[in-house]
Order: sequence, then C-alpha cells, then structure tokens
Amino acid sequence: MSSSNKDKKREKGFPVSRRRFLQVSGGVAAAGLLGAAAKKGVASTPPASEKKLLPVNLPIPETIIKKSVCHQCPGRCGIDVYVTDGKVHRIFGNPDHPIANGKLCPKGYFGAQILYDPDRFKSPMKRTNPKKGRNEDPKFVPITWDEALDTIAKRLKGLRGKGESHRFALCFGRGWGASDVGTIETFGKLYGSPNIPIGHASMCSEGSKRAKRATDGNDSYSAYDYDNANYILSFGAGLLEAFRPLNYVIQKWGKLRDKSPRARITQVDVRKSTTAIAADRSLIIKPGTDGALALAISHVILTEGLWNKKFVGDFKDKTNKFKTGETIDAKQFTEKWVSGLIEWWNAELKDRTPKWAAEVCRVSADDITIAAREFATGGPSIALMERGATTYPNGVYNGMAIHSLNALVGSMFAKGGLMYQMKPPYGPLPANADDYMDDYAKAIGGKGIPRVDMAGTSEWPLAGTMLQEVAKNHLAGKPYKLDTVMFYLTNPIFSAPDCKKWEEALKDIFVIDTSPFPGETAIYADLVVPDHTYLERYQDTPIYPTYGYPTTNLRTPVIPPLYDTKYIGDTIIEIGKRLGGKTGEYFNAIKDSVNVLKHLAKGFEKEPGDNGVKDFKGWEEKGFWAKKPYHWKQIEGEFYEWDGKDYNKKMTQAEVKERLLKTPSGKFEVKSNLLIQHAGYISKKYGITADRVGFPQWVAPKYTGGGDLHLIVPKYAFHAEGRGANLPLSIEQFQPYVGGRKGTYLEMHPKTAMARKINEEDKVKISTSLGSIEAKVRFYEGCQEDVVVLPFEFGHWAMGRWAKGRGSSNSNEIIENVSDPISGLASYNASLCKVEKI
Amino acid sequence: MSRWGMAIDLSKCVGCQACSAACSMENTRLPGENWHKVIFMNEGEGGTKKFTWYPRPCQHCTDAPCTKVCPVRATWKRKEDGVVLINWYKCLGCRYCVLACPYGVRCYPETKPLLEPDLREVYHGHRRAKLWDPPYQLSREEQDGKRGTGIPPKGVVTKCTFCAHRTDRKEMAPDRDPVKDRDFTPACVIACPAAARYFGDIDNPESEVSKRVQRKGAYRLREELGTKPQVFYVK
Repeated sequence: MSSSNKDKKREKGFPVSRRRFLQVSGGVAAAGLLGAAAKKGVASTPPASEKKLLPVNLPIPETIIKKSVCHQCPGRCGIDVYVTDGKVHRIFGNPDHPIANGKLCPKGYFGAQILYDPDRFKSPMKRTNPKKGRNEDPKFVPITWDEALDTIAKRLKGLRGKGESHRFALCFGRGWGASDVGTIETFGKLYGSPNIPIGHASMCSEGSKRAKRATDGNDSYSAYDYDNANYILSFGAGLLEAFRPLNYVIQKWGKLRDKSPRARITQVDVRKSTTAIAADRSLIIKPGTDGALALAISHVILTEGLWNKKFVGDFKDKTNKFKTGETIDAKQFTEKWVSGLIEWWNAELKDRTPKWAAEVCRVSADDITIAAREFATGGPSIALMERGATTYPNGVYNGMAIHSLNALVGSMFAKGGLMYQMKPPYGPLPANADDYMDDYAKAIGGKGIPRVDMAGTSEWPLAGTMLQEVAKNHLAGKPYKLDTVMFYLTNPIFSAPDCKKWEEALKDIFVIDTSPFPGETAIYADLVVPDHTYLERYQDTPIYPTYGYPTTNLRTPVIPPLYDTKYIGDTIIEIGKRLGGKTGEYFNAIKDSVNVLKHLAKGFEKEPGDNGVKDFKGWEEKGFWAKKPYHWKQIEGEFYEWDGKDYNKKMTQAEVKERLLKTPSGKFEVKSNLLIQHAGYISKKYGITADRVGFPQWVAPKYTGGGDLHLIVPKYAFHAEGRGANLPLSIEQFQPYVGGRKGTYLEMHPKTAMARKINEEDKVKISTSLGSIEAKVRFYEGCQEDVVVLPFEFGHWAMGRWAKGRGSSNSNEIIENVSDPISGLASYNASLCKVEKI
Repeated sequence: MSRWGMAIDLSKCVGCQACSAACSMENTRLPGENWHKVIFMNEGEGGTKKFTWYPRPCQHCTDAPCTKVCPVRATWKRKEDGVVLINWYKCLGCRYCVLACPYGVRCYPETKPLLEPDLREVYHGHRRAKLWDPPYQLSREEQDGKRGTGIPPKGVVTKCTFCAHRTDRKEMAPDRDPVKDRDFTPACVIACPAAARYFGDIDNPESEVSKRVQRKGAYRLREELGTKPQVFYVK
C-alpha cells in the first residue's frame, strides 16, 4: 500500500472524530486550525526528529532487583522489588517463586505506597494526653528506643513482682513465622502469661479449621491440587476476590479455563460477586444456608449411587439402599475410609432432599441435583469454603457438611483433590526455652489461671483463641482485668464485632501498639513502638496451606529502614533482655532476629531446596526455600507414601491415622468423635439432642441484629487486611461494580431501595440492636432483595489522611459479638439490619 | 510491517484489576488518571441482567482519531511499531485529543483531584517540569517527555504508551513473554495473574497474539468507527 493510499484511507475514518471535535469545541478558529493540520497529514508522518525515538537495546538503568515477600494478605507471594537510587518504585511477582510465578494480585503492586506512606510513625512515641477517646489527640511525643523498651520492661517486671503476669496480653493478627510469632510465644512461656499471645483466628476463618479437625483430624486450612481438578464447588469462597493466595488462585483459574475440556466452576454465594459472575454456574442462596445445600448434594450423591466406593466403602451386596426417607441397617454397609456414614444417613441425610434444601436456600431443586451430579461425576472435584459459609453461628456444621462432600467423592489426598500443608525443616534455635524457665514461669501453668478470652475453658472448650471476647471480659472483670496489652498487626478496636466495646476497654489499659501506621489502636495507645514496614525487615514466612509441599520464604529489607523503627521480633527480644533473670539470659543467647533466621536456615543443610537453597545466604538471594513433592497420595482408595522416586510405598491404616486422617478412628468421620466428646456443651448451645452432635447437620442460623435485611460484609480484591485503607490508588478501584472511586458504598438492590424511597447516592442509616451507622447507597442488581452489602475495609476514623472519612462507616460497630459455639468464629455475616433514608 | 498489538482473552479475565493496579504504579498515575481501567457493566434488564467487564488500555488505533486533531503534532502514531504516543514537550494541553478519542483513554491529570488530600500537594512537584514528585517513580532514564512516559509536566495530556519505556528497550519481536521478557513487556501484561493478556507483533502471523486474534469471535471495540484498534478481545 502506497503512502498516499494510506492517507486516503485514514481520511475516511477521520470525519467521525472531526465532527465530534466540532460539536464540542464550537470554535471556528480552532476548527480551521484542525482542518489545516489534517490536510497536511499530520498523523501519518512523524516529524523527522521523532524518528529517532525508538532507542533499541538501551541499557537497563542502575536498578537493583531484591527478593522479598508480599505482605498484603497471608498468601506469601515471592516478590521482585526494583530499587533505583535507593528508592523502591516497582514490584513484580518473583518468577521462580512457586506461588507467585511472576504474577501478583492487584494488592501486591501498592507496596511502595505502603513503604512511603506519609502518615507513618517515624520513631517510638509516648502519649502525653492522659484522656483517651476517638477525638482526643494523644499528643504523642517522640522518645528513644531505650526509653520505650525500658518503660515496657519496667511495667512487665512490676506485674510479675505482684504475681500478676497474666494481666499482660499480647494480641496479634497476621503472624508470619518463627521470627515473630515464634519469638512472641517463647516470650509468653518465659514471662508466664496465658495471654501471650492471643491470636486473631477467631475473627478470621477458624470455622473451616474446626470443621476439618472434627471430620478428618487436621486443625488446618486445606491445600488444593487445582492443576488436576476438573470441578470446583465453592461455597461462598471469594476465589477471585479474597481467597488466599489470591494471586495463585487466579493463576489456576486462568489455567482451568484454558484446559480442554474446560474445568467447571460452580459458585454458591449470597450475592453476584465477581467470582459468581465469572463461574460457570452460580447458586445464589439465603445467607447462612450453605450447610443445607451441601447436605442436599450429599443426599443426591448417595441416593443416585454416585459416591466413590473405593474410598467410602459400599453395600455388601453392591446394591444401593439409600432411598429418600428410609433408614438402613448399618451392618449392610462395609466402610473403607469414611466412618459413620449409615448412621449419618439415618440421623440426618435421609430427609435432606433437594426439594427440602430448595426451600431453605431459595434455589431450585433441579439446580441442586445438577450441581450434585456434576460434582460427583465430573471429577476430580473439590468442595471448598472459608469465611463465606462459616461466619454464622452454625458455621462449623455448615463447614462439616461441605467438607464431607470431599470424602464422598474420594477427593481427600487424591489427584485433583485436597490435602494439607507440609512444614519446612527449620533448624533449632541457639537456646532451648525449656532450659530457661524460672520458678515463676514453671509455677504459673499449675495455677489454673484462664486466658482472659476464656478460650479453651468450659466457656469455649473447642476454641483456640477468642480475641473478640477480650474487651468484653476486661470490662466485666471476668475472669480478670488486664493491665497492659500489646498489639501486633491487629486492630480489633476497628475490626472486631461490636468494636466500640474496645474503645471503652482500652481506656483503662496501658496500650502498646506496634503498627507503623496511625490506626485506631494507636489513637488509644500509651506507647507506640513502630515496626518496620514489610519492605524494610527480615522475616521468615512459611506458607499457608496452598499446594501441600513445604515452602518457606524470607522477607528481606530491600532498602534500609526509612525511619527509627524496629522489627517486632527484635522489640520482643530487647524487652526480654531487659527483663533480666533467666528470661534475659535466654534472649541474650538468642541475640537478635537475624540470628534466629540464620539458625532456622541451618535446617536446609540436610534438605536443600529444589532451587539449591541450603543456607541463609541462598535463602536471602532466592527469597524462598521449597521442596517438592507432597509426600502422600490417595489412589483409588489406597494411601501411598513418596519413597524418593514415586508414590510407591503403600501405607498401613496406622500410618494413615498418624499422618493424614488424624481422627480417633483414623478415618474421615461423618460422625465426629471430637464433637461427641463435647456432646453436653454442644447440645446445650445448639439445642440439639446429644446423640446427634457428631453429624454434619442442618442447624438453622440464629441471625443477630434484629432487622429485615441481611448485612453482608465481604472482602474485595483490594482488601489488604487493613493496610489498603490509606492507599489512594486502592481506594479508587476498591468496589468494582458500584464504582467506589472515592470510598465505599452500601450495595442495595434497586427494588429494596425504592421500597424505602432511597435513591442512588442517598445517605442512609443502617441500624441493628447495637445502634446505627451511616452509609451512601448505590444500586446493584446483583444483590438479593433482602441482602445489602457493605465491604469490610473502610469506615476508618484513623489510619491516615486518606483512610478517614470515605463515605461509609465501619460495619463492625453494629455487628453483634456472637460467635459459633464450636469454633468461636465471630458471626460477621449473620447480622440483620434496617436501612432508612436520612 | 511490525505493529505491537494486544489480545485480551475475556473468558480468562476475572476482573481482579491487577492490570490497572500494576499500570498505575508502574506509570505513577494519580487516582482517576486511569491509563488502564477495567470497565464493569451490566447488560439486559431485570432478572436476565448479565454482569460483565472488560479491561480497557489505550487501543492504539491504526487510524487514531486523536492524532488527527492535535494542532501541534504532539501526539502521533509511531511508524516503527504503531504505538500512539504524546510528546509532552509539544503538547499544549488543549485536550482536543481527549474529546476525539472514542474510547476515553486519554487523561488530563491537571484537574480537580479525585481524592483529597491531593497527592500532588502531598508530593509536591517543585518544578514546572513535574506535575508531582512522589518517592516511587520510574528511574530518570525511563522517564521521557518525548514519548510521554513517567511523570508529566504541568498542563499536558497523558495516556497509555504500551509501556514504551519497557518495550523500546529491545528490538521488535513476534512475542513478548511476560515472564521471560519481563523488562520489555507492558506492566499490565506481566501483571495479569490469569494470563489473559497477550502482547506481540500483530503483523507477524506466527506470533501468539496474531494466532489468538485469528480465532473465532475475536473483535475490537467500536469497529463501526473504522479506527481499527490494535487491541483485540478474544474468547
């Protein structure tokens, strides 16, 4: 094509834009100028000087790429951080890292904004205003680290001197590994307080862990073999929004879509989330009824004879006797790896028909039957869940019903199924804490002092931690009042249910915050000992359950700390040294957190990683240690162990019980021995008979709050565990469908809104039994008519200049502090509310 | 002829916005200055309403209306690779091109800030040559006003450059692998966790992007305008 021809062709397309231009500009002179320019053919020939503008093979500027680990969610993606002239300006996924694979989720890119957050604390701070309140300026004055650490040590020594060491609590949120939580735990043991630490799992996703412990004996989240799966049935898991590691899950989603035939994904949800939209099928159910749906799916699998006979077992005469409504004699069935199936059927499943579930869940019975058939026959299949299905008072039973589906189709430890995560081979620390326990520390365990949150006592016998109870219990003085509390990566004064209780509680406690950011906790803090941000510190981060084989990353400082801050591990070690006595001796032997990491890395000498990492230096250079494969596999109802070459070693029943199915029976228990041990407690709490407590079953959730609309508080893809709230670029893109832009909105179905005379952009009052908050409304037809959605992240009254005042308030202020009696998981999504126009 | 082009597989796109996030950090964009945006929309009515989304970078049109309205030839289509760029040394900030673009990809960052406090005040750019000056920005070598990469001076129009500061570092090739050619590939392509984006020479029939484009159902945005974008949407 000659150039004149090309020009003519261009002219053809041109009038469109010129007309637009004329309409808008309305200026004759300007139009004339434009016309002239166009005739000259400006667009087609770049000016001579610009022809040289394609600098080929330019050298890459003096940039150092450092390996580290992301911090925006628990996923632990390896990152490559680009540093030029000492400034961080770019972050990409580490291409060698098995989770990141060169990719990151949207949150990962904002690291530099977190590092250079202008609102960070620049040194330790002391409060000088004794009055505490939301609107009280703490009047912080900078102090030295010596003064800060001495203040803490003196306080802790004083408590111990009075025999009140239990009145010091250390609450943590996102724990990473041995160099932070490990150090904190040892500190608690040596100092002698049952409240060091109090973890945040009961405000996170404890329900799924407890459901798994009750059925297969592993108190853990699961790892998944997405690569080989053909069907994913997700119960309210935000696979494309909040499931972790989000980056890894999206990568696998892309692969499942490329596969031929393409793997199918069914999303059960309470609203049209992006996951539900992108899935092949979505079942939009009434909130809290996931368990009913899962039971109906089990019912179909059994009545239609679709269960995996090699894993589950079969009837002795090989004929299917599961008939709706009819009980069966247990003797007719030979169990393989599932224990209690017939009893479960007789007590629960026989009546859980799709028709029954259709009414409970508000979906069509046919859809349930189809999903059940696809799940059972289109395998390998995975049924998964986390918070979505378990943040209700019936959470563990929902979770057990869902997890049992994995047993029925034989996905446990199978190819394309699910498993658990192996741990890295860390070396021992330079000193053994047991050798440094003084008499006080040894005696404290025998005194029977309960934790302040009452976890593990008769009040919450099956809960591991109950952070959300701390403020309430302190205020009531039951079991006792706290004196001092320290927070690490958690901000319950904002994020706990009924969080305003914390504002009262923290008034008369000496509060130490370690966050580098001025969050709500800091406003109530007496002392701030700021941590480094994640790009400034060394930290080990063994991975969350992801793909099974062991992996541990090393977070490294990509630049020297910008300010006078200190890594939490070192803060704890320094406090320990100042406590003196045997505790001081121990922490002197530990020296510092980098020394801890170097000792951990000695464990790699015997087991070098697949990437050749065998010491601290290699760990720092590559950013991670990983060693394939996962060691166990269930193939057609038999378990095999890796022998160094393949899964050749057949496992005995005892070995399976020890390593994989860790229940008392050594099988997957659909009649849970764990729950039966606590039958009295459970039957009282749920109002069910003691003989039924062991079965995954339908217990209608008790909704809290007392309104007519379900208040759902999901996490979106930009939710960075509280660290995303002060990032302007994150705020802008936060709520994709209703287009947040400047902040968050209450998502509401237009019909629901119209009935209340509410228009888009109107300010509304959302109220529950605890009071009310304000929000702005936008319409979203992806909401059910009795569901309103307010995302979890915004509504801050502190946390930095951009976090504050983003339109809508914090949902946690009106969510009642009610928890699932078994797991202790706070029922964040169980609240009903009223919405009125202001 | 060689032209950079992009294919976006909408069956794999999950609407996570990693592309937008990576773009805004790579190119140091202000909130609201969306060189790249994922557009969420719904089609149809009532019960049959379908929710969907598509990512929208600059379409780098073969017949780019924006280049034709520029009174000072500040924006032009680069012959060597078909990328539409802006020379900030020449741009007057008249914004004719912003109006001419049928896809709304051009930005004029010197407007009222989307979010207060204004990032431009927090990270004040002391010279006229820089609209703002945050600690995180491209290295000096990568910032080039002649191609419109990096932080703009005051009063100019900005837009997606297909990350010219990255792609220009290496000679044209049929494909740019987001992992192997990371330093030479647009940030949005590297970022996509679902691997839904392909970047390469659309004039080379052997390239992955051409192969994707040739598949059934590939289309371009607003074909009726005759702009012939170099960005394709495939299924």
